[in-house]
Amino acid sequence: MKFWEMLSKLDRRIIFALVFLAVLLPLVFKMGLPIKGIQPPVKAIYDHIEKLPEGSTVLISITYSPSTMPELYPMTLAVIRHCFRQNIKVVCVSLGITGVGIGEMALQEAAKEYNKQEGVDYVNLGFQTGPVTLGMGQDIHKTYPTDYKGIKVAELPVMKNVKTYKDIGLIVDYTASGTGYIGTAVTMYNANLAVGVTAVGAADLYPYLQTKQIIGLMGGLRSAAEYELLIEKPDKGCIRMDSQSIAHLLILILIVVGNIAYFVTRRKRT
Amino acid sequence: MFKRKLPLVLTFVGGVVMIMWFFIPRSNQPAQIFFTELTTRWMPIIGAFFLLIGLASLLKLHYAKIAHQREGWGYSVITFAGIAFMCIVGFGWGAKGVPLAKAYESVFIPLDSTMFSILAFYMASAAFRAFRARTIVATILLVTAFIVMLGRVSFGTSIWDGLPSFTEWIMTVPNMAQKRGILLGICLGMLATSLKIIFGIERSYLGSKE
Amino acid sequence: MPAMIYRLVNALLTQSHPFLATFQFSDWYEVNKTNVLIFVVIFSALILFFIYHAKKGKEFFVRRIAGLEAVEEAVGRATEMGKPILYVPGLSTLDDVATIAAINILGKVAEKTAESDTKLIVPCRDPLVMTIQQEVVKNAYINKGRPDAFKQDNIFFITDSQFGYVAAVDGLMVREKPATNFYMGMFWAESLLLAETGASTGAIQIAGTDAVAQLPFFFVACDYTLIGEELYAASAYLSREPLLLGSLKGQDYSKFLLMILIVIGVICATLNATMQTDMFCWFINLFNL
Repeated sequence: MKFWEMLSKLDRRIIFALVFLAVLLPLVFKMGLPIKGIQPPVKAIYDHIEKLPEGSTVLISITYSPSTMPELYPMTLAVIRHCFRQNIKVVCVSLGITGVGIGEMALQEAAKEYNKQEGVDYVNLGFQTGPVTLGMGQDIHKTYPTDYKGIKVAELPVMKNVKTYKDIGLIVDYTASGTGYIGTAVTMYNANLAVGVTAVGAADLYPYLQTKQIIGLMGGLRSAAEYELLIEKPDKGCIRMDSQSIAHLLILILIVVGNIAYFVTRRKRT
Repeated sequence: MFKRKLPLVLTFVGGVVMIMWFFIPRSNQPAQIFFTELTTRWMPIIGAFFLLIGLASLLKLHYAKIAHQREGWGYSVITFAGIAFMCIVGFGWGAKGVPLAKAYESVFIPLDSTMFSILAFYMASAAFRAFRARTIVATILLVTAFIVMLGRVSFGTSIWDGLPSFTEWIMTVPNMAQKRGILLGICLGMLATSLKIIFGIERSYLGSKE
Repeated sequence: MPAMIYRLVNALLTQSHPFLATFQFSDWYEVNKTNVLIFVVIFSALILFFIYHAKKGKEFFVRRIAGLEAVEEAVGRATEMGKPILYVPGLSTLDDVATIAAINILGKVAEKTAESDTKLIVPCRDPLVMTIQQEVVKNAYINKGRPDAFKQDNIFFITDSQFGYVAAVDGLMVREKPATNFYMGMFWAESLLLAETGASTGAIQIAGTDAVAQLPFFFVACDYTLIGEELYAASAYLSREPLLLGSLKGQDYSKFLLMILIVIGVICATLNATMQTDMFCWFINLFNL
């Protein structure tokens, strides 16, 4: 009985240690757990980009900070890779100052792989203060007069025919929680929007999926892994899924053990 | 009197103008440009001023800590050192310079990621502590959480092929029903609060009555 | 129907005065949004109607909200223990209605701390929010006749970095060990990081947010949680001001109206599907944008 009592009041530090091991070990000893099935909201984004004609533009919006990079960076990279594979131009903006570096990192990584040229095939417009999601509906060139490196946007070939949301085939907003584009780009300018979000924030965005205010949704690492499989380029998303699966399993075991201990000790008390 | 009335008038005018904007068609370019300029120009200017106020508050607080050698004053010295370092790097090499990028990659990214990663540990400990089948409602919550978690992991399909689609059903039907209920309430609450502010009924955000 | 009204107004405007001949009504009003306008007018009218009645002295019943009832107890506990109260006003800026609601609640909490002479710590993520909160707390202390007890330095700016802010507030909790923690306003992924640390220090915790995804985290780690609209109702509940209570009643009737519309919509959609007809589509289309 003492054992169960001890279990029901398990020290949080022991739980922390177990979680640490559950995350670390699968990264060291790769397990390659299978990822079966693609969720329809993820497939919807893939299909939309597949249908875009060559030379059209996708706007990638980085609305997250480095803290959520492990979850959101793989899906950012996967979509940029997909665009470059389809010869689609990529315009990247950051809604927070800390997202500028992330956008740059993803663009450079994908551009190297597909031999794309900065300013011609892609551009990082960086960060601007103020309500930019609104401003872009009027004039992107005015909202972002220069790119991240200070080059005038009007002089960039990639931006030549991209003036407002009308000239953008799809906006993909990567965010740790909600998206600011629904109220502006979608409601006011009828833009096509897809969202990449952390698993914890995904539940919040399902209502917009059903109302078709967003065309697709990538929620958490699993969606990133699925997108990597769709573009046939398994990378960080697939690798990290092992870690996430084992950590989930540990939490499930903890919940079961906690409940058994709770019932055993409760019976003893009554 | 003027100090109190002016903000109320400004709030009313601002609120009504923003409502009007919503109903003006996008095709009316001059009006759209006017409203966009109105909002996009003002906010960065106000933001810049308040950033200075924030910085002043931060420096004042940590200076007082160091001056009075309060507990943990050493950390305040680190705060000053951090601000000084970023200023030197920023002003010396520019916002797009290599040192700032290095500081961002080597200091900011690891620190920020570390704080967020603690969430995994806290989530596990909170789930262990809170997910107990104490009542029928708590049991329903527990079972649902269990199924959704299983459906989201790689081996979920090994247990049952239909688990991911069942999880999707839980997310899009029962989960969405409750979410919509709460969201409708929230939207009405927002509408009521906004109206109270526009009409000057709710004034506590204005602060001092002096 | 909206198209007819639009044509009529347009014809009247363009023919009544030479100056107005150049005025195109369609340039200034988007007909497709008429349904939104009608709903906004109806809901606003309901809310203003009840505010008007409250002004005339009508009393309204408000159900008990456990989280707000506990505010008194939470402040009392801090006073007894001689420990401070920590108030986290969310991490959003002033353009978020939840932040304004959090500021309103802070005013009421500050009145109670002024009465009991308990230290109130308010760490801020936004300098503009900080400035307003300093004013609100100062006002509360003046109202309670304790301007001497007000300390501006207890309401301070930390950083606008989300997790930098969390690290600082968590540190504050561990060092100062507040007896009561309030988390009111808009929160994102940091909600559990704050609430779990607070729970580990043994503080009474009261949370309130309209961020639906964060509610489960507050539920597991806090003693009381205000769900969504309860956060907006808090200001009226704590102050018992008739005008604010009147608006609550207006909200309730608006919600009732929405419920009726949802039920009619469900019936129409079901009839459309089962009878394989478009007969009831017009009702559902009323809500299209």
